[in-house]
Amino acid sequence: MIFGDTDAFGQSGFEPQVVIIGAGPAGITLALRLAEARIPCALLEAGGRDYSGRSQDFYAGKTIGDPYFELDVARLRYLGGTSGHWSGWCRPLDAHDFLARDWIAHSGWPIGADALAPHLPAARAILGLRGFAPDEPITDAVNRIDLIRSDPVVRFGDRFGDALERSPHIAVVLNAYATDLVARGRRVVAANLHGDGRASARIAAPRFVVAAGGIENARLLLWSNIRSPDPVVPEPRALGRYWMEHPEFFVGEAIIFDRRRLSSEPDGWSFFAPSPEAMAAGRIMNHHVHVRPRSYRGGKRLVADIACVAPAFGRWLANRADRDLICTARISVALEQAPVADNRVALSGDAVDPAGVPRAVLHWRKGDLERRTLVDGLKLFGTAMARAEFGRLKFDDWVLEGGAYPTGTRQPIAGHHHMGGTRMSADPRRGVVDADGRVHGMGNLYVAGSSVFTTSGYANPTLSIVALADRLGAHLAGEI
Amino acid sequence: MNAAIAEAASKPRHLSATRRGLLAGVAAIALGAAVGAPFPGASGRMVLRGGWLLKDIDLA
Repeated sequence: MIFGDTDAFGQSGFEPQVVIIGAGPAGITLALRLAEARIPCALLEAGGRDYSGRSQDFYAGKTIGDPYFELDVARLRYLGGTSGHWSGWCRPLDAHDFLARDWIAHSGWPIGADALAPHLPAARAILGLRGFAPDEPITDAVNRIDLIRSDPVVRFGDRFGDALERSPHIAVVLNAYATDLVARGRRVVAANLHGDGRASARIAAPRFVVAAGGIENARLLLWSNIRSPDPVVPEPRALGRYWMEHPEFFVGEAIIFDRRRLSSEPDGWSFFAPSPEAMAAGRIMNHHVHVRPRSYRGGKRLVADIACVAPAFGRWLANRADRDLICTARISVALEQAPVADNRVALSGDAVDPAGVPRAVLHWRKGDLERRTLVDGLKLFGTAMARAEFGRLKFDDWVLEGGAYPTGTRQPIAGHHHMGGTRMSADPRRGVVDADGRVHGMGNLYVAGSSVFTTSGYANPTLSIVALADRLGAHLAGEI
Repeated sequence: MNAAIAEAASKPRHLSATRRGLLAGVAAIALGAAVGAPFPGASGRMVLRGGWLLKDIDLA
C-alpha cells in the first residue's frame, strides 16, 4: 500500500510492527524482506513519489574541509532515494576489509565477510547482478578484479513501486519526514513526522529502523538526542563520526601494449586492486585502479613523451603501434578512506530546514594515509603492469610532486558514497550500532545503510547496503 | 603511426624549447625506426623517469 501523506495513513488503521525511516535501497530491501515474513511495516519516505526541488531543498547543507559536492546534489529525497541517480556499479566488500589492520586506526568490523555472504545472493537478485568472477592475480601484489554494473540500473522507486503498492504488509507513507525519535528509557516509542504543508503526526511501533541515508541517519539521531526526553543514542561519542567517502581521482596515463589482454569488455575498462599481502607489506589501505582505454589518436603525445625518456623503447612502441596493438588509457584510483573521528556529520548552529531541523554540516578531509595509499598503490599497480607486460604507467605530475589534490569538473573527487556516522562496533565508545545493527543500549532501535560501515573498503557500497538490509530483515523476522 | 609521432613533435606550441628539441629527436628516430632492442624485457628493476614507471631495461 502507498499512502500520499500521514493523514491517509492514519485513517487506514494500519498497525506496523516495524517503522522504517527512509525508502531508499536499504529501507525498501528491508521492507520487502519483512513482508516476505508477513511482518507489517510502515516505510516512511520524506519526499514524494517523484523528484521535486522543494523536497530536495531539505538536503541542503554545508561542507567544511576538502572540496566536496553540495549536499543537496549528492543524494536524492524521493521514493527510491539516491538510487535515482546511481551509476549502478557493484562489488562486495573484500573479506580483508572486515579485518582489523594495525596500520589503520579503528579498523575491524565486529562481523566478518561470512556474516554477509549468505545475503549476497538475495542482494544480487534485487540488483539484477550475475555472480562475481574471482580475483585474478596478475602479480603477487595486484589482482584483476570484477566490478559489475546493474544494467539496467535499478531505480528502487520504479523497480519496486508496484510490489510496494501491492503488498498488504507494507504501508509506504509518502511526504512523511521523520524529524526526530522519542525515547522513553531504553526504547524508542515514537517518531515525530513533519508533513511539509500537510498534517504533521506521530507514529508509534514496537521497533524502529533508521534507513535514511549516509548523512541523514546521523543527522536524525543527533537531533533526536537533543529533542527526546531520554537519549536515543545513550552513548553518543561516536555518533556522526568516522564518516567516510571513497576519494577518487584521475592520477595518470598508460600505454597499453595489447588492449585485448586488458579486458574483454566492449568498452575495454578493467579494474585492479592490491592483494592483502601487498597492502600489509606497504601498510596502505584498499583501493582500486580503473583503466579506461581511449583511442590512440588521443594518445600519440604519450608515445612521444615516453620516447623522450627512453628512445629505444619509444622506437619499439612506435613499431608496435604500426600493428595497431597499442592503445593508451586514462588511469583513475578510488581509495578506501581511513575512519577518523574528526570526519563527521554535525548539526548546523544557524541554519535549519523548513521543518526547523538543523541542517547537516559535513566535516571531511583526506589524510596522510589516503595520500600514501594513492602514491604507493599506484606504484604497485604500475610495477605489476610492467611485470605482466600489460604496458607502462605515467603518473600525473601532482601525484609524485605531493601537490594539492586537483579540483575541477573533470576530476571525480569522490564516489558520492556516504559511509559511517553510525558505524558498527563492538565498543559503544567507537560505534553506534552493534553487530546486529542495533543501537548500543537501546532495545528496539536499529540502523540500516552504509552509515553502519565500520570501514569503507573501495567497493561501491550499494550491494553491501542491500545485503546488510537483507540481513537485518532476517534478524528482525527471527526476533519478531 | 610514425607520421603521427612526427606530427606530435611538429606542433609543440605548448612545450618548452628543450621539450621541442627532444620531441624533434624522437620524431626523427621514430620515422626511421626499425625494431632493434627486444622490448619489453623479461624482468627488471623499476625506475621512475620523467613521471614514467619503467623497467631499467626500457632505458637501455
